[in-house]
Amino acid sequence: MRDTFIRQLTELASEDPDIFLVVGDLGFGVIEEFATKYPKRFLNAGVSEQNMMGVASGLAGSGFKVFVYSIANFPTMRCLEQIRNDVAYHNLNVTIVAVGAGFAYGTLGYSHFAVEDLGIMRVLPKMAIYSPGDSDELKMILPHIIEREGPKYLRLGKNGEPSLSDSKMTSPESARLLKPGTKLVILSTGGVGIEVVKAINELSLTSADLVAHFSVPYFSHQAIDSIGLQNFEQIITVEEHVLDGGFGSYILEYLESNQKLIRVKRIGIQRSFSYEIGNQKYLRELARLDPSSIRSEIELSLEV
Amino acid sequence: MFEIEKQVAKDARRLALDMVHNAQSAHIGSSLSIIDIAVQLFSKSTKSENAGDLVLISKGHAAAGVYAVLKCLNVIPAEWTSSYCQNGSQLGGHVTSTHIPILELSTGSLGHALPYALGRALGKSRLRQSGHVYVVISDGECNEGSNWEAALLAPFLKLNNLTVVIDRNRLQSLGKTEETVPLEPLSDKWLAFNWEVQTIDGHDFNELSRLTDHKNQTNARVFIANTVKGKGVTFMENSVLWHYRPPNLEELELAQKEVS
Repeated sequence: MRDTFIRQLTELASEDPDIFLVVGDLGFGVIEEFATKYPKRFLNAGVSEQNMMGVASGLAGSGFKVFVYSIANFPTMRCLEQIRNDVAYHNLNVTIVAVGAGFAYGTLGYSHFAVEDLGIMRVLPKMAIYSPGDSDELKMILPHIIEREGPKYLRLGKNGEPSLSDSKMTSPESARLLKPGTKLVILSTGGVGIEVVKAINELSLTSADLVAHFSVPYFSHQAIDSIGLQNFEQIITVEEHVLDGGFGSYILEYLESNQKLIRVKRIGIQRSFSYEIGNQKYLRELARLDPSSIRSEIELSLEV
Repeated sequence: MFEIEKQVAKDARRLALDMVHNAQSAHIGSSLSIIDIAVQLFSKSTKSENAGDLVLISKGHAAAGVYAVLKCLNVIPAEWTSSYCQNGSQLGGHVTSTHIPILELSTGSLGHALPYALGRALGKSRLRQSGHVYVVISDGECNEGSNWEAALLAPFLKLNNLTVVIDRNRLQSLGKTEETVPLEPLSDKWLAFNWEVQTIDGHDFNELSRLTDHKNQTNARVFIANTVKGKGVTFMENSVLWHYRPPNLEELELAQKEVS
């Protein structure tokens, strides 16, 4: 996803002279083309995230559409107050691009996990949240992000994520239907959606017919409205993020705001520190975010 | 010389004292400390021919002093300063840009405006826009690492449109800077970071005029402006107490006599 992002940003930057890329000394082998093509619209701010975010704010104050690119925890938690006070409070046009959603940088350890970022970023006023599930979703969303003013958070996976489906998103502001169904709807956000796709493939044919699946790459009530949740008896949410404050919580808040009574099961990461070493697949299994764990949860829900 | 600036500064001191007394709010010491610097910078930046200039106040707690200067320069109306810190006021206890676009950045948490200023100066430079970016930080604020992150980067970018003014009154919230997190040798630190460094008397307009003289500026520049916290009111000068305490009526009258 990060390669798709940078390739597309580089393309869009040829038509839009306002696009500016700031990196925090990360992106080796990824950002060079942009830096070479547009040296006047590129800055490596070095290993200094507070300054990086402040500088990004100032550049946005000068009229640029600024993209700040770094890994997971760095452009979010390390400079949270700059995001809150400088970017968001002043409604500046800064898109924070965090690569390494969830356990994507698994073997690098907990320091590099992005498992609390959605909760932290989405409580900030004005902050728009984007969490594409694959490169197709990202491609649909990026032009929309560039057109939209104000602070944005774009949560990306790493690289080589499989496509979730052949189905296309119809609009950047709606959820993407991956599979229709009649009784239970699964809402996933981000690359972990592929585990849901695999879980549904493992279901018996009769069960599978009952299960719909949508990917939600943009957190907005309008996008959730487009799903028509009232047509389902149950909802399962799936996220590679702690259960507290993340995507499932967002859906619960949506239901409360709209006074909809539908049974919800949230699947995600328990809020506890992981001291385990392993790759993303291994860590997803431990967190019960693997296809067979998700399949068990679906079957359990269908039995009720 | 500098009679206009001196008069604005005198009026602003009187007004700031009234404001903190009426609001019973803190930070009069910091406000009296910054006023002459603010008069010098805003007198220049608010002239129509300098529309590209930008003055950022990182030490947001000196808000009363900054607003008072802006009122005395006719940038904001008198009724705003009289409702300072009241419910529904345009003016908050830390620098608030919401109703004063020329301030651009609302501050209050220290260490924010210098990185922002660096971004603004870089933006101007890359877009070939005219105008200078000034940012006033406090000396206690030099404890914040974010300032030193920006200090490392700015000279590398050759930002000759960026000037930092350190309001060096040698007091921070709980005591003397040199007995808290010592800053000296402060000018050597900035020199070592490749800044153009100058030390001036932050209450002398003859020396303050150098803040806005950029004839020989080839890179990011910092002024260590030696100031007195509580400047102009003997019993407030160099006293940590007046970082927080608002004057009562008796103290206000005494203070007003002194600054007049």
